[in-house]
Amino acid sequence: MTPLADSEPRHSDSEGPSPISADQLCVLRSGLQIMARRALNDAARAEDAVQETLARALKALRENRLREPEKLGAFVAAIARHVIADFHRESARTVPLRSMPETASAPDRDPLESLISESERADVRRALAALGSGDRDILRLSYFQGLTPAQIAERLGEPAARIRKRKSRALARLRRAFLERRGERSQMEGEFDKVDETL
Amino acid sequence: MSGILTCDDVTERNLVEGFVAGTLPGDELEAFEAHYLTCRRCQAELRLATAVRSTLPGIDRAAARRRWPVIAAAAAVAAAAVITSIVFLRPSSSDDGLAALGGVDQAPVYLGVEIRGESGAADSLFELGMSYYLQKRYDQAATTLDASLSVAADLVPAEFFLAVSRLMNGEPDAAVPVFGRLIERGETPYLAEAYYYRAKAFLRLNRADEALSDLRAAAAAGGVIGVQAVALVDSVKSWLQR
Repeated sequence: MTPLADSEPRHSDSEGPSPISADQLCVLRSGLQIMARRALNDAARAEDAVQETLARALKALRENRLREPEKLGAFVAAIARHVIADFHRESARTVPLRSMPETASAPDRDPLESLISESERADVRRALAALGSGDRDILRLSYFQGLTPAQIAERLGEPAARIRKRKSRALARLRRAFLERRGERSQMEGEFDKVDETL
Repeated sequence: MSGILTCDDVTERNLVEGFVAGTLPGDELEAFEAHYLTCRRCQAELRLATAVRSTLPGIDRAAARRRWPVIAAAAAVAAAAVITSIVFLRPSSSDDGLAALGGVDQAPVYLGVEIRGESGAADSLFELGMSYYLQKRYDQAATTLDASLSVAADLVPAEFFLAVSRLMNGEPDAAVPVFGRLIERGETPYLAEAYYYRAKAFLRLNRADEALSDLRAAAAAGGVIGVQAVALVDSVKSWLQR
């Protein structure tokens, strides 16, 4: 796991010192956005769920209800699941009938897409277009079918090691394109490279 | 699954891929959520995976248009059909005959992409035929699409979906010549799919050699349909060797 920066805890204006650092809070928030948008498929309600989760989590942390700090993620994820379930229940009670056809009209849209900017999409599109069609097939089988490199190798009749290498190389190019504009490349590339070596 | 995941675990267990594809079982999903909530790297991987999922189908459509620019809108229909229709073959059970390998679990999906140009009688018939197709009324779909071709013989999408309708309607012998006409047109967005589904028709008719020949042609085209064709070649060969 990427170690979170060990900066000083930030003080909240109204509720006393925060039990986690500003960096930890930032990473938790962006992780919760992924979790909530996937579950609720609605950016505004997901943001509300994120805020509610963070409020409950910080309160629980101040009350020292997290016994094992290394389980912060599981602790907050459990709170988020409760909050999301509450939102689902609330939604079932209050969604007006006239809004239902609109909701049903786009069931296949990836709820996480709204987290990706147009410029990021354009960068990845260019990088994908520069890949060979065989490498794109591997990515398609990975991200649309959820297949492992071994399963893809079986499908394509190629050695698994070769599929892993091709996938790793293709992903390395995409990461460079994706992270460069966001200025995260230098910060994260080393870690990605370490993972690539294990593939 | 128990314990705390590391990024190496995430990579080894294919969790990012399974998460975005929606194939993770509940316990793995929970463990992965607990991990990525505090992991900047895995969050970036999820965003990258989402960007790939969001842009890859567009790349496929662009590639199809480059191959056959004359009917660009039809290319989009074909590419979408390829991407969304594929269901990997399960290994056939020992009692399944060769014809079982010719089964089509899910017909190619028609996404209703508009054909460019002025709307005419052929287009109206085509749209009506495709509405039957979407309702899985393949007999009526075939009749109507056949009629659209009598008005506009060059309506390539109509020819493809007519052949598929025949196949889905349990008429592989009637589907084979229609796929054949499409294949004779040469480079169209439907060429690889026409080979693949004609192979399915041949398998239904227990004509294994012709099916294998078509599957090899489909495999040479690459892409998802090529992957499917390779897998089906293996299945057919396995069956023949029994």
